[in-house]
Amino acid sequence: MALSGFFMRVEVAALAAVLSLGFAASRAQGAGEKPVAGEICATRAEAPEAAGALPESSAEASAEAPSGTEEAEAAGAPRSFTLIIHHTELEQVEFETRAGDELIFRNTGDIAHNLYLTYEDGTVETLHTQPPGTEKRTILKASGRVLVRCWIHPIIRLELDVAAAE
Amino acid sequence: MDRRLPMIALGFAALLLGLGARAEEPAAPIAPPQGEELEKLKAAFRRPEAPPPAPKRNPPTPEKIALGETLFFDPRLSRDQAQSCASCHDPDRRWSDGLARASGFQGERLPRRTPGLMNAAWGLAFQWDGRAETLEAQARMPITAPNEMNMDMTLLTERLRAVAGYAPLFEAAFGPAPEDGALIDETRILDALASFQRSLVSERAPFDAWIEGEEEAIGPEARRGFALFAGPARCSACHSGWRFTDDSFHDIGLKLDPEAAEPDLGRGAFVPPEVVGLRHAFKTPSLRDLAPEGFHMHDGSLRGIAAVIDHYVEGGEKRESLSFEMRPVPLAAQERADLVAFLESLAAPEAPRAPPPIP
Repeated sequence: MALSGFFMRVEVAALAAVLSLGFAASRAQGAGEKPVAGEICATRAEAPEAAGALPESSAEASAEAPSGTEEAEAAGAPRSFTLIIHHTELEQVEFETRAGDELIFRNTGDIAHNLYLTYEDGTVETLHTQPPGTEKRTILKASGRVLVRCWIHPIIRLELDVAAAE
Repeated sequence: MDRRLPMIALGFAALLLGLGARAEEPAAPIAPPQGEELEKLKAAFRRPEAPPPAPKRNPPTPEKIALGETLFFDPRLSRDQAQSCASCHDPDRRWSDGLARASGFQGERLPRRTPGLMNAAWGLAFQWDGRAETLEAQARMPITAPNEMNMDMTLLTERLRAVAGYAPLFEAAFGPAPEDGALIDETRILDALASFQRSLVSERAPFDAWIEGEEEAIGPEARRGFALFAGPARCSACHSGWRFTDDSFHDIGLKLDPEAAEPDLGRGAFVPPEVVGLRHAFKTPSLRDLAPEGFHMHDGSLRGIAAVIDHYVEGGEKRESLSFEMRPVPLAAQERADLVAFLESLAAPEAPRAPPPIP
């Protein structure tokens, strides 16, 4: 009984955490943070999670990317890549990106993040606070080495070699 | 229609449900998970078997660590030769000073508490605000800070070169002077200090023994406290891993110092101003080897582990930068006591350490 009590409390905590996302997301926007271009917030991101339909790997997610058709690929059209952040681990995947492509960061963990991109010329783009269960989107703005990090969690780090737009 | 409305409605629903859930909290203390679930949980907090990591550029050697220790205890590193690193990072006080706030150059009261040094080899960022990315970079900061040791590195180098006893220590640690350099220089001083700090590793605590299978190493209170810590209380969202820190930065809602000329922005002073969430954010401290009745938090504002737990129960001051991980944690008196017992189980017995001879 005691053991089941433990798990019940964990479930209550998890439920409260999931349900509080809406509040958290509205707090983030209510705080006056400017949404990034193309950002989708909790409303769109949470729906598939609640249904258990979040893709589990970036490969799946990339295949589902809206602009990832063969025609678009052949035409050099921008593509979307989804990267999963789970707790303090940003999925390390290898893919070829080029300027104009879209990156989608999906926070599947239970803690908030605050990702930022540093371009080779020193330009920094901050994606602002990202509560659990939400996505942040950004367009790669220039070619060259791009470093993705989290202001909150220095352990999160991903380097991308971004090719020039075709 | 405002896109935010559904989210706001969901937020209120969550708030109400959260309050409801809180009202239904069982009064009885929880029991730890068992079996496979417990083993998985334990693995996340198990000490590493590998020795402390070090950068390839500055590998540790016994001679380099010994030199670093000597420098660490040498008051020549401060301008007035009255203060060594060990004056604040006292091995008899778990490498801190027992004060709420550090005492700097000629007794100046500093705005932050002296952090402990144990397990720094695994750290990802140093200083409360993370402004040092390596221990080598960190070692320079208190030496040269005007309100700490107030020393100039060139002056320090000259001062050490004038001490005959240091030459053999540097030669043993780094070899003879290179053709284009000096036997004693700033880089070598900082490398030795960093190597010494990397050698400081927490002794095995009762909790470690329990993790490794000694069931009676900690009592039932501590075991329940661990279950709370890693479960419903969500302490491990930030105090994660065997060092009980995520090496990350959070505003946990401590009261701002009303006497300070300007509020301490912590990590927020080193990020773009639009990164609101990093204002008043400080590095998550390790929870190993805490002084149960000592001062805690970056500003020493809370005394005793129980007061720290009370802070998290209340959830901290609400402000724009408050960490998303901070939310009130309702805990019964027994649960608070269990958490204290668990945190006390993370402290290893203190090991006396005699200071090295200073040349």
